[in-house]
Amino acid sequence: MEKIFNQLSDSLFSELNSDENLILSFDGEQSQFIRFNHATIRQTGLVDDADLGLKFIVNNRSVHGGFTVSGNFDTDLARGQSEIERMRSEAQEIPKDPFVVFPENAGSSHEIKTADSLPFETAVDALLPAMSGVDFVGIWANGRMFRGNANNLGQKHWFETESFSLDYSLVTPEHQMVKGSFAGNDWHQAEYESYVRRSREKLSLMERKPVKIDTGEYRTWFESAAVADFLGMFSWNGISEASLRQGCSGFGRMRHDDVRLSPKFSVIEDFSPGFCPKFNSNGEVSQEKLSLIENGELKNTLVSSRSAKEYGVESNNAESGEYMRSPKMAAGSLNHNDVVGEIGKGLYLSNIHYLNWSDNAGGRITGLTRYACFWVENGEIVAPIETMRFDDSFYNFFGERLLEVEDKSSVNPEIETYGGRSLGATTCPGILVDDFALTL
Amino acid sequence: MEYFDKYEILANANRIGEQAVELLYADDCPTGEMDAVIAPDQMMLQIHESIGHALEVDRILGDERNYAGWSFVKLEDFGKLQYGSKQMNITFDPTLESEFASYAFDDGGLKATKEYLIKNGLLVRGLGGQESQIRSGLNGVANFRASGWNRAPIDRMANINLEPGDSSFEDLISQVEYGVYMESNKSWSIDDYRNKFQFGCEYGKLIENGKMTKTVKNPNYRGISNPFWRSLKGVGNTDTFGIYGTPNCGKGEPNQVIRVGHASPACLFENIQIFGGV
Repeated sequence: MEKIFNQLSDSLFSELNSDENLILSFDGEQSQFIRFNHATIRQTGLVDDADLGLKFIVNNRSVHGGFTVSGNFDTDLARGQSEIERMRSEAQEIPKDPFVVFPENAGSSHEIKTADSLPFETAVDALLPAMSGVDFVGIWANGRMFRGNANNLGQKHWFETESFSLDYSLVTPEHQMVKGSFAGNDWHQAEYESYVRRSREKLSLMERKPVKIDTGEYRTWFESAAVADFLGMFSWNGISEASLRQGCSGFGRMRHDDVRLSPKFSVIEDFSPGFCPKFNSNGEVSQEKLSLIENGELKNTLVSSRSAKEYGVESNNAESGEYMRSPKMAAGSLNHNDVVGEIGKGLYLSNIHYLNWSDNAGGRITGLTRYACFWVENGEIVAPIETMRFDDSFYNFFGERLLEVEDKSSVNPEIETYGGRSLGATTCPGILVDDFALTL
Repeated sequence: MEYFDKYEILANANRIGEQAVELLYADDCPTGEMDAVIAPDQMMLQIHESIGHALEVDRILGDERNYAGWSFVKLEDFGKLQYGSKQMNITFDPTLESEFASYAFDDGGLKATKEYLIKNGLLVRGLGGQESQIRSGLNGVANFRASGWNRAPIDRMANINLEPGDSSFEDLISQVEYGVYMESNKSWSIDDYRNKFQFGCEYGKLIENGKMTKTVKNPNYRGISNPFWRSLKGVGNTDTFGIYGTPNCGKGEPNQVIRVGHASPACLFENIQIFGGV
């Protein structure tokens, strides 16, 4: 893939006139997908795919293009030439862009991570025996992912990694479910079997008859996976500078009214684990760590170079959508062994589902309980709960109602596969919250 | 879908501008159980989330349980379940050239035809392509679709519409003693069985004694799919009909995005949980 990208970019840059600029962005994967239902194979596929994005800039006008990379150099070059011609023509028809971001040569990078992965042809034999006798449904994704960026000034970045994920649910005959997500780089069969064994043990708790609880406010524990979902909302009308400036962000009260969250709540953007590349689609490289919220105080928003120009602030080389790519929340002091005791009476939520802002300005988020969610009484798990809807503000559950933060963080890898496999992960602990609002 | 009506766009721009200014000074939507008149642009989402996804047969068969979820609809419900009030008629129709998800054949080669999914409130047919029809033993529709060459076809929506009734918009409003008219979706969430939903709109009007009065902001409502559709009290006529759709319907593992179309008249629902912002 890297050779294809290099050949193609060198050839396309040679097509440019002296007053033209071109930024190329490469996304590729060589992946195996296996979809399971009822512990049998439902669908399989091998995807060997790459796309090239083009950003063409001339006379303060920018036009975007792109095409699927075939791997045949002549075909791809012709597609690229055709795109440049189209963009060159369109650039004459559009007005000047006052906030156009020009390419720079700030240095190149090259990062390749190899792994001792599970060979495609052995995947089914490795995965299915551990699921014997249980209703297992899920998706296996495995293989290499590629990201590249280059511009006509000579800057070039390449990032290549190899990873797997088995995202799955185990289901009881009464339709109660436990979620599992086993992901990593090197494959270790014993670790996989141990992980599945723990899921199966959790499933046995789900065999108890679910209890229906009333709407109201409850002392609630959120596992790391649920906290990761809440943090994910910050990437959508949250931490973005443009979103704040346009009045769409739930962070407005922090920016304008100096409202603070709990001193126990800190979030940084942390590229040091290497879950995803540090460079963005403009080829700009982010600093390794950037504090976003520190002890409850908004320290930085994510600022793209375009927002920096538009609003007269300094860019921190965020992606153009100003979303978090590798967020990490600081751990606290609550040991997981003490969680159920600390809940006393209330809810233990392993996962949440389908979050959305119900009132941006108020920071209110609605969503639902899902998977292994339990009613706790006298410091002991009583039974799973029936699905409940919640609607509460992060100014509450990351604010004054945040009681404790777990002393250990978990890595929640990005496993979405829209268009192609995603990179990135959210690293965070669980949290204990008081008076969390269930509404339906 | 291939043309723009310049004058309609300009009229909409004018209307939206005026509404935006109204919202600056509007009170929050009241909270309580009351009637709701829902505009077609919000009905689109209501149909999509609480009917379309719930009737995908591969979902009912459990394929989707690890991702979007399951369905409150069971295989044995077809032909028996009273999904909504008798005024509810839902069709699947990829043959409509005027909507967002139109095609002559699905990716399994099945010829597209218009079919009733729900007739007079009764659930009669699911969204299952040939593969799901064999797996489930149910009849279905031509909806076996893939988002592209690198994804396998699965059961998807196409154009799913609520057929018009015979009430004018004024008739619908006049039936409401106290309630809220709402339009322009801004928030959506529903559980993994497609039961408990909560939707929010940008613009609302209070309805008092059969008339729309003041503008209200942040109109939200929540409910449970089956009882909600049974509370459908009035269905607008063709004059109230609006055609919408989305290019971003997500489903499947690995994930797939496709286009879907939804059209609906304005509708009146009684005794709905309605609330405003913080």
